[in-house]
Amino acid sequence: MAELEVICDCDHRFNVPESLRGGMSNCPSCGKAAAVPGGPEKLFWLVLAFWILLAMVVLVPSAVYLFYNGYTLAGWGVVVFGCLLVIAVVLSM
Amino acid sequence: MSDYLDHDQYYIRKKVLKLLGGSFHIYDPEDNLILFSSQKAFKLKEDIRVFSDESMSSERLVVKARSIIDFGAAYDVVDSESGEKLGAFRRKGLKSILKDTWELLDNDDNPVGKLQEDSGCLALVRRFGGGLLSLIPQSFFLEIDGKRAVTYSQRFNPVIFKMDVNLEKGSRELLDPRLALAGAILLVVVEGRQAS
Repeated sequence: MAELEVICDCDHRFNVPESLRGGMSNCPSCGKAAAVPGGPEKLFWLVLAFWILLAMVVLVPSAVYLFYNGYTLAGWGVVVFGCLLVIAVVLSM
Repeated sequence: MSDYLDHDQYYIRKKVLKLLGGSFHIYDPEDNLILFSSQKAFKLKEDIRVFSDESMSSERLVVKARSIIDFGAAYDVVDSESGEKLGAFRRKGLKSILKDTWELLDNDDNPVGKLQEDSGCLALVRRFGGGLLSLIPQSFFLEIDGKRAVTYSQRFNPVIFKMDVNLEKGSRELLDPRLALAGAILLVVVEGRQAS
């Protein structure tokens, strides 16, 4: 079975099973829980970044178009939506 | 071991009037507050910090998800005072569609116990019955080596979520009471969120 190397705060290095990726494991030296690196987050952030980029590509030209054509309220609506999206992403990090 | 673990019965009350995030209180049988937790809203990766009281000055337990996605996620339980990991709970994603099921894992991720809803039939009625049937209180059992160690019983209250935690006689020889409380916390936070 594949193993991951963990470096504890006490500088002790030890290996843990792959299933503990992103979790915690007790250090055999000091007995305290050390964070196991990794986690399936990379793919999640990649997908999230893609959707945010896509949203910006759609939202920014939409807002510019709406303001340019005098649909001020709708333009502000798009801006507020974009801001809320960014706030939600920042808060969830 | 801390004095808050001296009891065999606890009850959890989840705060309902909280606009963003959630919080819950854990009381001993004499109604003394022994643990409190408040969760932030919009938190992708669950990181539940449990404190001795509402001042949140003394941290007791940490229940931390390994991944962002809830489906089949594992949650590590760490004692904040000693810094030691006590074990973990892993949600059985597919099984939980029909009946909430969790595995209790040891420090090397080997399954040592099972936490599941009381009855498969009642679980189906609660999920698919709709209306008043969804208000039927849930009960869960934590079993170690086939022996029932902890019973979690939701009280019938459509407004406020309350759950009793009963450590069975001799359960302390089977599991650490902090893990029993961590199981209750996960039922309140993770299963409770999905129910709402």
